[in-house]
Order: sequence, then C-alpha cells, then structure tokens
Amino acid sequence: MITGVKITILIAVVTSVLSLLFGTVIAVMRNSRIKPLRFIGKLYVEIFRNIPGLFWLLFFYFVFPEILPFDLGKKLNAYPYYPIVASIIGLTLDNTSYVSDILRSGLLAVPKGQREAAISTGLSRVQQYQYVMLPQTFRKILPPLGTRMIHNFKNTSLCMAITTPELMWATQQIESITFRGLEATTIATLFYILISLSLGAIIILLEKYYKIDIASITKMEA
Amino acid sequence: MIEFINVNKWFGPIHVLKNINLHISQGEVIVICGPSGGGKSTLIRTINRIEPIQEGEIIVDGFSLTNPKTDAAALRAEIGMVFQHFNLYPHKTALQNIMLAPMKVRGLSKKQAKERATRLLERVGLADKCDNYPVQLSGGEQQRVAIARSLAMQPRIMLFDEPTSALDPELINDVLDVMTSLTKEGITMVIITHEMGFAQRVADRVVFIDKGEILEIEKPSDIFVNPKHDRTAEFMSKILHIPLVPNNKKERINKAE
Repeated sequence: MITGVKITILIAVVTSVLSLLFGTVIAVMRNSRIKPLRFIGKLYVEIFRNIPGLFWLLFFYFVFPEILPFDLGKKLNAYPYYPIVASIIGLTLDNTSYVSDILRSGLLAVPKGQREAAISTGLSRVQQYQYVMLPQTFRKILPPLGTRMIHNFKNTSLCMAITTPELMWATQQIESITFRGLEATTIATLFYILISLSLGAIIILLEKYYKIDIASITKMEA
Repeated sequence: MIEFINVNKWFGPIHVLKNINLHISQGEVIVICGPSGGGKSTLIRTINRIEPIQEGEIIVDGFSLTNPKTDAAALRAEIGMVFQHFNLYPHKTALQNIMLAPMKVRGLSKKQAKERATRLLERVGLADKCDNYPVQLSGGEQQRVAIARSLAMQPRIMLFDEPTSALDPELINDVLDVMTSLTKEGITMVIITHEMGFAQRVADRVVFIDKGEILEIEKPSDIFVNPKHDRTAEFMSKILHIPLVPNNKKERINKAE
C-alpha cells in the first residue's frame, strides 16, 4: 500500500508539473495575435476538456499501442512500467486543458497597461510574458490552480483502471486477497485526505508568501 | 526627430487621426492638449507603435515605423513612455521595476542596473523607497518611479500620456518638477497634459487636437493668449477658467492670472 501511495504521489507530481508547463504554452498560444495558434490552443482545450479523463487513460493504455506500427506497440505492452507512463500522459493531457484555461483567465486579468509598459521599455514578446505578465498571472490564479491540482491528485485514482499500481489499485488488491475491505479503504481514505490537505496547505503558504504582491495587484485595479 | 506625414488612423469605422502632419525636432518639448476623445492619446501612442497606423508615415530618429523591417523593440528602447495610471509592475519593488529593462534589453549586469536605478530614484526624490512595492507608494511617488523606469533606458524621446491626471492635486507638483528638470537635458518630450501653467513654462510648442485633427500648433505664449481657432478658444477658456475669444485681448488673461 505504501508503494501505492508513492506511485500516486509520483503520478500526481509529474502530471501537475507537466500540465503547468504545457498549460502555460497553451494559454499563451490562446492569447496570441496569430490566429492559427489561437485556434490550435482552443481546439486542444475543447478536445481534452470535453472528453473524460478516464477515456484518455484507457485510450493511451489500450488503443495507442495498437495504432502504433506493430513492433513498437508490442514493445510498449511488454514494458512493465507502461501503465504508469500511460497514466502520466493521459492525466497530463486532461489536466493541461483545465490548467491552461485557468491560466488564460489569469492572463486576461492582468491589466492591459502592464503589457504596454513592458512593450514601451523595449522588452521582447517573450520577455513581456516571462517577467511581467506570467508572474502576475500565477499570483492571481493561485487559488483556482490549487483546487485544480488537488482535483488532479484525486484523479490519479482513475489510473487503477489501467492496472497502474497506485493507491486505489493497491487498496483493491488488498481487499481481494485479505477480504478486509473496510480497513483497507479506511486507510486509503486517510492517505487521500492527508495528501489533499497538505496540498491545500502548500497553496495557502504560497498565497501568504505572495500576499504583498497580491494585495498590490488587487489595489492597482481598483 | 519625430515626423508625422499625412497620418491617418481608424478604429474600425471611427476615423481617429485625420491627416496628421507634425514635425518635432530634437530636444523640443511639445505639449498636446485638446478635449477627451480627440485623439491625443492615440497620437502619442503611434510614436512607439503601441498603436499602428493605417495610412501615412511616421519617422522616428530616421526609422520609418511603417516599414516592417524596422526593429520596433529596439526603437522603443529609445523611447520612454509614462502612463496616466503609472503601470508599475505590482509584483516588483520600485528598484526592481527600474532595473528590469536595462538588464534584459540593454544587457546591464545586476550591479550596474542597481546602481543606475538607485541614482535615478535619488534623482526623483525617492531614495528611501527603493524596496517598497508600488502598493506602498502614493500616486505621485508611483508616477515618479515610473518616470525613473523610463529614464533608466536613457531614452532620447520621452512620451507622457496625462502623467498627472490620476493624481491628487497636492502630489502633482512633485511629478511636474521632475518633468521640468528633464526639459533641461535635451530629451525630446511629447507631453499630453491639462496643466496649462506647466505647459506655458516648459513647452516650445503647443499642439491642439480635436476630433482627430490638429487645429493649431503655436508657441504657448500665443495659443493661450491668442488662439486662432474658435474651438481652441472655447477649450482654453474652459480649462483656464477665463473668458477667451479668438485673436483677442491679452489684458483679460493677465487680469485673470
């Protein structure tokens, strides 16, 4: 079961980091003045947000190896860690769509004058995002982003459907071997709550750390 | 230094700049005034191409803004801009606000940038506010930091878009003092302001714009006293709170002042 906890945390951390990374890219694309980029970004969000995460997990575990050229798919199926890899891919793609939309809302909430100030000092487009827009965006979206990350963490339980040996899967295994479902499930519940609460606490700490900035951002808009 | 040649601009169907022709020489201080919605801001924002134009040509420092080959970012580095609402970066301290562009655009080391920023903060009278975040500064202080941020790039042109309009009356003078000291340095300045006393003191020429058209370009001594155009006269008398008729009577103004 401890192994299950470890794998759950591993998947949650990796997917959160990756989806934050890709989410930023998608959000910036959707904020671009180049129409095709905006379209691709929107398309991505619509595809992955409107189809359940469980579907993508099943897709990458069962369907994806099939559509690869024959040998490659077979190798993937034989690869013992493939369930974990498929879990990470599926959850990342799913979570990215939400994260990117949260980021986009944060980007839209950065006053227009901020970008104009950055432009007028000669910063390049990338620098405008890197030093001016995105830092403010992240401070603004911390609360909804934290909620999303907790959600993503809980979604790791879906990975049991593709035999990923995470916490939920381990619980089920214990139950089917020992028939002590109540005990196993109770402990799993405690683990989930413990980790979720810690995540929430981290977010609150981050919010406090940036409190002075957040206060200033709010005040400047008023 | 800055040359407008038959510039036209539309926002959708609205014709916001109509046949603008204006030549601004190096070191000149130009004040732009006129009623709101008249195109003042738009005009000033075309100079660093925050607003693109649809017709005509703008040449800044020998580079045509309408030429796609012109490196807009490099040109903007030479043009400082100060906004009505300061637009300081709220997540950075006063010092960091000033240091960002010199480090990232000019390639200064952190130490050099800090030195320059500290010097500039001293110059605008805020040496003790280095580590304050914008929220911890008054409006006037924020605007002076914003001016210092622009100056840190050592620009040859400074654009001011109503720099004192959002300030408490008491705080306006500190900002105007800083601006006045700049006029002595040979930086070309284009200023939108309704502070007519200030305009009279520092401006080489005053441009009056209404409905997207330049109606008058005059020396301040002329435009405030002897406006040629009815519309200018109407505007000036409202803003100066004195009755004014076109081409008329110095005495009345002298009396009012």
